[in-house]
Amino acid sequence: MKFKVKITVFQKKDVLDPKGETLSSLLKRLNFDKNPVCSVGKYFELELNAKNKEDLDKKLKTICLDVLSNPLIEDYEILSAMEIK
Amino acid sequence: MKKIKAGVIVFPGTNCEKDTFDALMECGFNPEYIYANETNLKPFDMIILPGGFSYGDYIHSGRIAKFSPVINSIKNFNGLKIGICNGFQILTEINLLPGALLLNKSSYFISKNQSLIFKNKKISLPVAHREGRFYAPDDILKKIKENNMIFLKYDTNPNGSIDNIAGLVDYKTKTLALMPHPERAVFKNLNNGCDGRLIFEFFKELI
Repeated sequence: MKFKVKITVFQKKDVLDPKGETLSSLLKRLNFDKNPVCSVGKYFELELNAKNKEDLDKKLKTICLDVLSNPLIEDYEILSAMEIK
Repeated sequence: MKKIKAGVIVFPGTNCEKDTFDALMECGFNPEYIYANETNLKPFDMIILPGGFSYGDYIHSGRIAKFSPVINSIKNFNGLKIGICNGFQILTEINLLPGALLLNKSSYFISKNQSLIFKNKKISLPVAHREGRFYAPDDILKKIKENNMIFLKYDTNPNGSIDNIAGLVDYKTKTLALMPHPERAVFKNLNNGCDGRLIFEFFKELI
């Protein structure tokens, strides 16, 4: 089975996010909001083969924790994992 | 006296290997380049991960280097392990040193000579990084302090590093890393001073 997976990685909330702060300042300066709260993260799209959904979940856990994020500073979220042809 | 044999590890994207090699030679070491696929570190007394952008630092600084064969061997290497700049980032990524290096507080790439505190004295070394803000959660920072791991501090904090941390050493695992570039402050004609020599002498103390 082949899956298309969408994943985001963001810094943990208590870790300073200078890119997010810069974006907040910009949106404030452009008068979109008086106090915009922004964070900037990473977005990944993967196409992976797996025996079944359980096998995919196992692979994704390792990929997310070891490759795409550092659990000390970042949290990941699997937005979707859809079977494709 | 036999010279200390130092392996200078080169990944695709490493760019400080020549400076590090030359500085090691000047300071009395016997350096040799090691490439990413090497697995035999037995001939070496120490290995050094120089600065640069290993594998483009895609995903995160040091993240891809973490999966190279030579890094796998470093985990079982009993000699001294040194990281400079990108090397520091790699050593935290593989948990040989605690914490992580994040985007500078200002978001800017900093490149300048930086005043630091080393062995209770002020020294100056070049810094050149964008992801050099040392971060560790409170519990890990507590352990870092309890184990006397902070050997180098910024005199004035250039990047937002927690507790002004510029360099860490783990005496138990013989692992040391710093964000500044001592190899750029060894030769007089580079006009960066020669305080880098003090750091290379410190490496010798640890062997």
